[in-house]
Amino acid sequence: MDPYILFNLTPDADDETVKSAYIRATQAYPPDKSPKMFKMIRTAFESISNQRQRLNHQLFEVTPVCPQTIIYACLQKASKERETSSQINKQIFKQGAESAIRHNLESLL
Amino acid sequence: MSKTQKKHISSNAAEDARSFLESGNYKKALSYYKELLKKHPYDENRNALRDCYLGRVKQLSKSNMNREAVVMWENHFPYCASCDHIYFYITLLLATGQKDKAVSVFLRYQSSLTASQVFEMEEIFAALLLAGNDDFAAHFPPESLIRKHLPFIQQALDALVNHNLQQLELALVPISFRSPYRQLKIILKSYSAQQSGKDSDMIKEFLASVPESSPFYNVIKVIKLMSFSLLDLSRSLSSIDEAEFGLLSGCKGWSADQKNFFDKLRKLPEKANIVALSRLMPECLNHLDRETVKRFYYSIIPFYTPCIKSFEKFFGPMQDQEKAHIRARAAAHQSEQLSLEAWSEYEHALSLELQTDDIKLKRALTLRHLFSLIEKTHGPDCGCEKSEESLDMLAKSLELDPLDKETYLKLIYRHQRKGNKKECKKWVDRGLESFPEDRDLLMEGIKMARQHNVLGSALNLTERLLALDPINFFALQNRTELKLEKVKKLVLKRGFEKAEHIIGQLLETIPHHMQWNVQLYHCLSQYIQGRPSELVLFMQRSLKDILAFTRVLLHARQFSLSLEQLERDIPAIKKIKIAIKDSKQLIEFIHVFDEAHFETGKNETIDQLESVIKKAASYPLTVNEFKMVCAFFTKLHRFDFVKVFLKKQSHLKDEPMFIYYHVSTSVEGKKEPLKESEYNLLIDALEEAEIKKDFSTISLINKLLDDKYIYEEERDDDPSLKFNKEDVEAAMEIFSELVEKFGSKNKNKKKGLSELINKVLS
Repeated sequence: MDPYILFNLTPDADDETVKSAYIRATQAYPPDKSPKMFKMIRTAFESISNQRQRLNHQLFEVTPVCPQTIIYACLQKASKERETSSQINKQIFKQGAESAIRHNLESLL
Repeated sequence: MSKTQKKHISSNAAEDARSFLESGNYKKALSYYKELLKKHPYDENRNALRDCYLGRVKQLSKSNMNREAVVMWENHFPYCASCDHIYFYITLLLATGQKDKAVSVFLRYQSSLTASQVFEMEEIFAALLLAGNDDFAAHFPPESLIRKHLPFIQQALDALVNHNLQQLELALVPISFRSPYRQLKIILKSYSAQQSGKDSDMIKEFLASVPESSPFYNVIKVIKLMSFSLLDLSRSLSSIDEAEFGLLSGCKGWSADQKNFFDKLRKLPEKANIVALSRLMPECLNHLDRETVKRFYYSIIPFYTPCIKSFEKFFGPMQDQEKAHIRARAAAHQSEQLSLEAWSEYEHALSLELQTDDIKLKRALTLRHLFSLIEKTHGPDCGCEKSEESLDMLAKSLELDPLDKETYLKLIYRHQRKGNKKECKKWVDRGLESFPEDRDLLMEGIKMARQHNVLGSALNLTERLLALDPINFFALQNRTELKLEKVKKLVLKRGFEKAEHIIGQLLETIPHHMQWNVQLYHCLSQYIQGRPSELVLFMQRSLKDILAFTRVLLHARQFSLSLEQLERDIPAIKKIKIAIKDSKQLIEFIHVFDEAHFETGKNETIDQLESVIKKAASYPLTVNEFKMVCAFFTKLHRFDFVKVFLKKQSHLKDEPMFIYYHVSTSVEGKKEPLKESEYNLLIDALEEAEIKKDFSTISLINKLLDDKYIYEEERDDDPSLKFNKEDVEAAMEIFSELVEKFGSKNKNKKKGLSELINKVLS
């Protein structure tokens, strides 16, 4: 995954900003609990950890963007404040109740 | 209708009505049973009529006419207390959205429902309550579990959203087994257990106990997705079905545009078709900032250049430098040659730009990238023009960006391998200017200074390294060796006191396991002063091991002491049988010579150990071991020993390296060029080495061929294609016979052909 997208950074981020983003990411995915994710985060960090690496990445990175990266980038931009339980109530349970009613009717008919 | 017809209907009506009812033709059955009931108001007909209405209601419901079904039920079943029908009626009310009525019917007739029906209804009501129908709750008695447990379950859901597992667990405690929320509790508890890393099989079992008919069933997957981080969510979207995706998009509050866009993306495979991706790029601009979309375009364009049009439509025309960069990245998948050319062009395009720091650094990185491409295709030691160019590129990169330690080291190592000491030193010095405290560069500096015999500078650099890294083994070893070098000079000038002082200092400062050399020098110094006893003791300790013995001989040579001299004073030496015990020890034996930084005395020591070495030549060596041995003796110009090993290591006779040494030792010292057979052997070996990517052998063979260039006139690549006149005539004769044989009507062509072939082969 594009390291800038992964860490939600712009390409002009400096070393300190990159490092802070890396630390935040590793706190969310520590190595003992999410080894695969941690490895991905570590690789991404190393590819942009300083200016030289960032330029290297810009010049020589040859992987085309994948759909998951685009989704992730859009999700980051679209993410709202944490949903309240009332929002969950309205959608999930309404549909769940409707589904149960339909199921009951079908079994009775 | 006449009396007779009515009588007739009356007798057949019951049968017809029954058959209509049984066949499901409820409409007709209804009209018959209504008439029958009027005439014969028996329970049998009443029950049958009820069944008709029930069947009709179900028919309407099946046709999605639930409202009509409710009306019919209400008109015709006010007196029916069968629990199945009540349950059905409540379900119909819920299906038509008449929740309030459904609750009041439920509460009135609850006692006539089965326990499972009561639970299923309560669960649906609970789900409707959680769906935000707050006024709906007032219908239930305050002491009912559906109302009592509602606040707890809402607290649990809040805790879920806030990822507060502790709070979640606490909130679920009051939810009992009889609660209508119990299935939801199982799901939330399972989620909490999963987050806490508990046994996943147990969790799966719990979740499996929630039936699909439960109104909370779809919560399972959606809650999981809701609780995912954005990263996990982006990876999971492709695996959920349409209904779940719709539910999730609603919960997440995505707009219709966002939902459509995500839907398109999630349906693409992970390694999506580039054309499909490129088509989505313009749409990305509606959801992302321009810089991000620009970077996405840059990642796609090298794989699908028609995308440039779309890019330029939104971002304006590409600059020459950008185009050159895209071409270079695209060339990476095509061929290495194209890649080299394209990256060179890019570097050239950058050189035409205003030389800001950024541009200079890009040029430097590109030059280094070109170097690695050339090294990959041509090997590090091929000695060809491209390889030389690559070194120039590295040097140029340092002009643009002096702060890259790895580049200095690469240049140093490459020049070391080429034996170019002057260049080596130049890059060590320049590297140390930029990185005065770098350990690797200091170590190279020490090596350089020792190679050039600038011992003062070597000692200076050693002290600098030790200041940074006091336990650095390399530095400690070098300091010891440099100081011992000084001791040697003092001893040879008979400055024994100063020499012993330095020895004393060394013995105090260096670790015990590094004191062997120091003790030896002390013993040699004592020996030269006419006190051989310490040397005798030292030799007695060392003579058990060929490696130690060889070291003693080498160092003794530095004091101009020969083995004969030592044997005179230490007669025990003559009696000792020293041998190299296996191939591993043979390599270690060679390393003893390599470790010694002095050049003198090595050949003499080898001569003294000639029989030992020749015996060891019989040990079967691997290709790498053979290389090391031959390289060592070649460096010392001891081709006699190389020949011994060539003779004894015949199992390696097909190896390119073996062939090289076989030829090089045979032509060594001769002025004549290579013979044709020798040339052919080398060419075959070169081809083999190229297949095996044995770059060191390739380099050696090329150098030998360059040095011993044989032909003055142009020659073919394949000398075997040169025919003489007699060969040509013989061939023409055979071909003429072939034509005659196949031209004629000879029945036994097969026999004729095999005769011809035998003739050719003979």
